Amino acid sequence: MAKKVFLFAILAIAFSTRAQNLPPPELHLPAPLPGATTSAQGSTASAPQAPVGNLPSLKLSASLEPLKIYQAEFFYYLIQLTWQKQKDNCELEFKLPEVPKAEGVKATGSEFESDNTLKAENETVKRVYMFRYYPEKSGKSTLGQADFEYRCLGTQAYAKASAPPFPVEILPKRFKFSDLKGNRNFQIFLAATLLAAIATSIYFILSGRKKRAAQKPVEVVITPEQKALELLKSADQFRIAGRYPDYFLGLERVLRLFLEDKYSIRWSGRERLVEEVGRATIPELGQAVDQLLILSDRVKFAGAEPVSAELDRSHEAVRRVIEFKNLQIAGGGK
Amino acid sequence: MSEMERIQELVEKESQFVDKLLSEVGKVIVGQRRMMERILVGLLCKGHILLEGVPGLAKTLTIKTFCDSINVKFQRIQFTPDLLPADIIGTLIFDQRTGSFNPKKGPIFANLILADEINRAPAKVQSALLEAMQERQVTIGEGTYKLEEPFLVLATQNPIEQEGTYPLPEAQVDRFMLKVLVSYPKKDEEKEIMERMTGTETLSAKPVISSEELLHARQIISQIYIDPKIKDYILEIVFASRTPLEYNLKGLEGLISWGASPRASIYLNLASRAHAFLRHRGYVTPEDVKSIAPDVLRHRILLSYEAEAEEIVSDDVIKQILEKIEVP
Repeated sequence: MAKKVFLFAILAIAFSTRAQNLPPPELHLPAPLPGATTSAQGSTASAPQAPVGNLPSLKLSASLEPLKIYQAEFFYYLIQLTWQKQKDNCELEFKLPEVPKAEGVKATGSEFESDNTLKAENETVKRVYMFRYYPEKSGKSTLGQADFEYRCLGTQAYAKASAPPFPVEILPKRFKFSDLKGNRNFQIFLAATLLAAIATSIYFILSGRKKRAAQKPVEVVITPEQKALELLKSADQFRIAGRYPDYFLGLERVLRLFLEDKYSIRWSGRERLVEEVGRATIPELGQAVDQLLILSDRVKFAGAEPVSAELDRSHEAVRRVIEFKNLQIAGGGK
Repeated sequence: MSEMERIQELVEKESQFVDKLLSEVGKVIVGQRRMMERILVGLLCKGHILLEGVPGLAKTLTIKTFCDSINVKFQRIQFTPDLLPADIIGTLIFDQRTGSFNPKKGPIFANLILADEINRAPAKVQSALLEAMQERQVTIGEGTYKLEEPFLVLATQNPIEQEGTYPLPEAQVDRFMLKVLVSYPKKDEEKEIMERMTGTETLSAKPVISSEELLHARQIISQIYIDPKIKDYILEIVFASRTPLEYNLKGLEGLISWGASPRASIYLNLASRAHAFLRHRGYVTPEDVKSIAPDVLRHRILLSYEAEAEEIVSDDVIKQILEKIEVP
């Protein structure tokens, strides 16, 4: 009920403010009964066929809700009957009207609302008929004439008031996304688009990876031997410059880094180091390293001046350790 | 011939007794090479040694064998709670015939003294011994008597029995040049010990050098060349024990109460030279310093309560310092 009251209020506002600018309906009204008041232009109805009792004078107006009607969207055809209830007027009884018909428009329901307003002893009665339609196609159409039959309560004969045919323009169907939900073609299109998007993404990801892989600098693997030989070359600069303590410091550094990288031998005291080098390579190389370290200490901490042969021997010892190959393993011999 | 070559030649010639001596001691003592070398370092540098180890590790036998090999006078003093200073340094005895007091020299008048379980005697006895160690002379009554060179005190401490002991004050521990930890022998060494000690043959060492030769070797130690880089390395090590944060040793923050004293620098210098001598070298290398540093520093670095709570010992601290300080 509350819903209906709310709808009525909306319709009332619509009548007053948003009513479609429609041509005035041509009403076929019965001749007024003796003593009945005739209302203004085309808005009064009276019983034409032997009406009984003192019928009030009816005003009739019609409108559409909403104003713009689109195909496949419901709309209402509203007809309002209004009359002033005088003291000598009888109580009216209405016959259910037939729903006006129109081409391309399907009637889906009808209802009515009544409302009485009392103002300074003047009682106004409003009766609004609401016909619900579903436009099946667009274009111009006309809602058929609406006839309303009424009589005084307890009498036999009906009076009749009619609303003339009402022209309606139905606009083409509006696009609604929700309509696509059930559309099979749309679903196929959507799935195809989605698949295409996924395929495109995969293509770009893979091609991006390929590009990155192509751009990635190639890591050059430097072996401990190569690294040590490079360092050995740079240590030779000190020999040329006659900076022998620095030269031996360089040789020791080369040896220390190489032994750690290649054999995981940590530099922990001369005697132990010599023993471990001898074990990792051959004892002869261990002895050569021992001689190198003794000379290195003499040069660094006793101010000894190495002769050329000693320098050559030291360089050779380091180079031999670096270039040592375990022939037994490499050759796969007995 | 350059000065360096002369020193090298001299050291090579004069250090020949080292191998002979160690070999002779080795006839009786199995293993314990490190302890024997440290005792020799002490003999060469006039530095006293504190030996710490559980009973039965041949501390006394090693020292006795050294005495036999060097042909010097040996005395062993067993420290007990009722020992008196006079029992060590001597006293005045009244002579009835002459009616005068004559000095009676104590057992300290020897070349090698073994102060066994030094922490079992009260402080007054410890002080008497430590004073004699420092001054190298003893006063009995009105007379002052010089102690005969070589004079070396080897004190022992037992680290496991602490009840009823008088721990040496830090200032007195500092007077020992080296604190040597005596460890258990290896398995094969112990097997050899077992066979030697259960046999019928009585093992003994014969004198291979004289005390004069030893004193002569001391003169040579002072000539051994130590490069300024090595001196700086020693200083870096000692200073790192005092201000570890300055050397980026953040792990040692709050663990050291007191760093090593200047005696540490002096003894590290001397002991490194002696170590080089043992290796027949006329110059010191960083390896000499690294090798001897734990024995010189371990009783000179005092750890905090935090370190004790975390069961950190001074050897752990020294190890960290030696790993951090850059070798020249």
